Amino acid sequence: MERMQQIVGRARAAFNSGRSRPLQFRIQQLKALERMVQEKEKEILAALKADLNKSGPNAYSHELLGVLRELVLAMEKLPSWAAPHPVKKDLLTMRDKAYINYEPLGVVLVIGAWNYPFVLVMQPLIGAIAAGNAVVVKPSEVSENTARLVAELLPQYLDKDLYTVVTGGVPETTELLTQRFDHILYTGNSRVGKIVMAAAAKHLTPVTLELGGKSPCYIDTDCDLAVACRRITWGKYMNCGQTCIAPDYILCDPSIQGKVVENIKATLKEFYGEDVKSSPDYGRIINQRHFKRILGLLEGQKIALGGETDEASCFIAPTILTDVSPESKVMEEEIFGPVLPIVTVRSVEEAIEFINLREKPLALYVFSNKKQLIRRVIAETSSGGMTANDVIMHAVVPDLPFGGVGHSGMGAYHGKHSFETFSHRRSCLIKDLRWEAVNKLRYPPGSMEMMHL
Amino acid sequence: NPFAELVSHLRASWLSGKTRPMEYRLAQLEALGHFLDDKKQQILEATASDLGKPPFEAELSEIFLCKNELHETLNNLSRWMKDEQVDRTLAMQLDSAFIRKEPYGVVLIIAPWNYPIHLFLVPLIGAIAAGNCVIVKPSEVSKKTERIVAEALPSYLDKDCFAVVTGGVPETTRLLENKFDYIFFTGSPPVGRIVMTAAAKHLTPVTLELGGKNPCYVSDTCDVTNVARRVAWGRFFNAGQTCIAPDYLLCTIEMQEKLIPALSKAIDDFYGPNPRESPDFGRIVSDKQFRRVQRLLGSGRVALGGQTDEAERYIAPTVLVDVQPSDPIMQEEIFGPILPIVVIANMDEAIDFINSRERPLALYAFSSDDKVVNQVLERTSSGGFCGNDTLMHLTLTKLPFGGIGNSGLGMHHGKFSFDTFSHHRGCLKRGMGWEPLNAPRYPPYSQQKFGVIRATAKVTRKNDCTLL
Repeated sequence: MERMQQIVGRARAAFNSGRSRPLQFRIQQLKALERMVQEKEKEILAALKADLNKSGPNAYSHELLGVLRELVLAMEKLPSWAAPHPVKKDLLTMRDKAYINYEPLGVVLVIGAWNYPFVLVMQPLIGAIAAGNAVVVKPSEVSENTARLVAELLPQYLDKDLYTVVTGGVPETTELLTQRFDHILYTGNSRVGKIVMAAAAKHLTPVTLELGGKSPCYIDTDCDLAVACRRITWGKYMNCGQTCIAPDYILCDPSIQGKVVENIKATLKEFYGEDVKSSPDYGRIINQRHFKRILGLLEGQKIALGGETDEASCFIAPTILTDVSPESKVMEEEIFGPVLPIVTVRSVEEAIEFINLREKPLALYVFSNKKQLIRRVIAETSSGGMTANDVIMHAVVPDLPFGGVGHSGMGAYHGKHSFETFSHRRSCLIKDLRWEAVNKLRYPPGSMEMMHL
Repeated sequence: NPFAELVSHLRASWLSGKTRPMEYRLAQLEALGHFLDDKKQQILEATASDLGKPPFEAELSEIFLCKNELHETLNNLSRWMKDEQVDRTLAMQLDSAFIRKEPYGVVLIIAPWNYPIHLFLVPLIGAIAAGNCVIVKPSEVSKKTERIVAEALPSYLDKDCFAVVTGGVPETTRLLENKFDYIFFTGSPPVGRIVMTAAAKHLTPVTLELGGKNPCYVSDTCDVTNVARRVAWGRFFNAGQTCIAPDYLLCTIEMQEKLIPALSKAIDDFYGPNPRESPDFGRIVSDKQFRRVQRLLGSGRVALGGQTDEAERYIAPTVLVDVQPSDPIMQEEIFGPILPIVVIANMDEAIDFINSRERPLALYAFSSDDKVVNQVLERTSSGGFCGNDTLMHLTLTKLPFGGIGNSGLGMHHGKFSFDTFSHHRGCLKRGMGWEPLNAPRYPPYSQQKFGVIRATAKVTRKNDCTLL
């Protein structure tokens, strides 16, 4: 308890000193982070390989590239993001200065997840630094190599008091959450999301919760199935299915179910070769617990493709389940693994109804040649974000807010949205002490004439 | 769960999609306007009865400011509802990337008693504009106003989508057991915590408009007469029961000596020699609140006012001096017509004093020297800030209204209300063609493929020297 109190206390004292506020300082810290990613690329990639068996170009592309891009964006745009925004005034305030001032919140807590362990702490960290805050980073202990590396590297490049890394598991995180923060950004599952929000409530701390859910993927009969399946295969099986915005399950007409399986099968061969297990580009399940969990979801299911596993290496082959019943276990929880259930529906109406009966997902996907159908699916459903005719990609557009809704989360970040999430928008109205005559109208004794002005 | 049926009825209406078309939202908003017009007289009478609210104040805060919000929303709704197109990377030039504003679903608005119409109606405007269904829970403390809201409001709005729930703490607690898609709460920090904790059980996002002690710093260089009038107006409006009222004053002893006579004159100008007889000075809302505020009169020494009348729940416009930071009046938000003056030596001491306390909802600084006002602004943190006046930053619909830290989270007013009650959904529409363009991202991974990704997806820094 004391240790956490000290850590947060030090961050708060450092914040109160005011040194994280000047833009020059923030840019300098961001530049240092950029140097860190460039200079320590080998170490970072090694950690990601050790934790998740991610191959070099894959890890670079999915984690480091995004971080570097975010850094460049923040450094470039910070002066314009942080500048006071003047607002339109009315008759009474014509002579005054009215604007919105973007100010840091104070001490921000970033809790990372294990599936993209580097980018999921770095991207929020970048936004929090850009907004002028002090930051405590709690990387996931499950991806322990990355956690250890982040704990080693950040103090080498950043201001040690303003930006701290705390490592540990559930007990340490619970302790940390008793401290008072000015914003908490948590990436993880809904169950823990509730715990984080309840802890935050004690201090009236605003939260951004990046959670998850079952991201549906509707395939219309009218679409280029080969292309659709290739894109879906890419998004589903990257990182061995352990992606919060992976297409979780497919909804399609029974008449194309078979073709979907065929196309995915062909694509898998293209991507990973004849023997998936020996492909350097196919990942592994993070640990035994999740391996067993996913295995359990296969019980009683019709396996159209895959199903091979190897417990020793936490390997689960790319798997497709067909004619899945909506009530089965695999349709109850977020799969977070390389298992793709197909649930058949006979129309887009049925698909929309199916989706709307369930919790709002983090992502939603629809494949169709019909623009009208796509428009309809977007209009009649809700999700954190969505992509039509592809998967994952909306998360890559720098100016789109990335976040959930309902059970999949609250708040958003990425790019400018990170800056806004970690800032307080303070309304400022600066008047003159003269021109008192104008004010007479509002003072008592009240006159109804003023009302009718 | 006594409210389960109501909530599920609203949720069914929500799922039917009827609140989404712009025409529907506009019609409901216009109806709110009619409510304000038709019931204006009753609202004035009810708030006069509940709070002794002077008709002038009631018309200003409960009708006029609400109509401003309404007009701002009606004028701009179609623009706000439009998809916001965003910049794309080189690789996505053929795609459409935009932010879609979507309603959350069923919203709960809990309002307090001090501006009993305004504080539910302004958020309600935002929630309707954003396409949600809404349950309004007006305060049971302002009883007559609560009755108008419960009896009259539903007949103006679509009963399938909008409802009013009445009751006190037990009812509100039961109400909060239900799942809402957004909760908007205005009230005190302790109850804010309870609301957020209840919301956490359902992962419901919240906006909390809370309060605190709003400091008012008066520098030695200023026009004392004007300062006194502006501060007195802000402090004594609604008999001090305003979340952004200047709660306490910080100044030097020299300034205090000048301020007291100036404040005395301002009070006299506004309310006459006996404010109790002025139709323009309000009353405390309840016996409980009256006793709470009355107790605070024991801090320091009464320099002006101090008279009370329990039967009328009247507390005179009062200024206290010789107030110590440890006095009871400096421990809680006053929410009454008492202005304590805490003497400090200089601006630095004032800033330190402010910064050693919870961040307030509003912060005021008075000085004819721009630099002083800017210093206070830059070296402190608060929900909002007004230099050289009080309350006025609230009247601009283009400024966001919200707290920070203990004074709240989230914001609203104008477009900020619409945005608060909307989910901002990141959307990307791609074509099925141009599949070869996607080739670099697919396995088998290679450095060469990776080079292509980097070239097409990156954001370059301007002035980056490519020779290095």
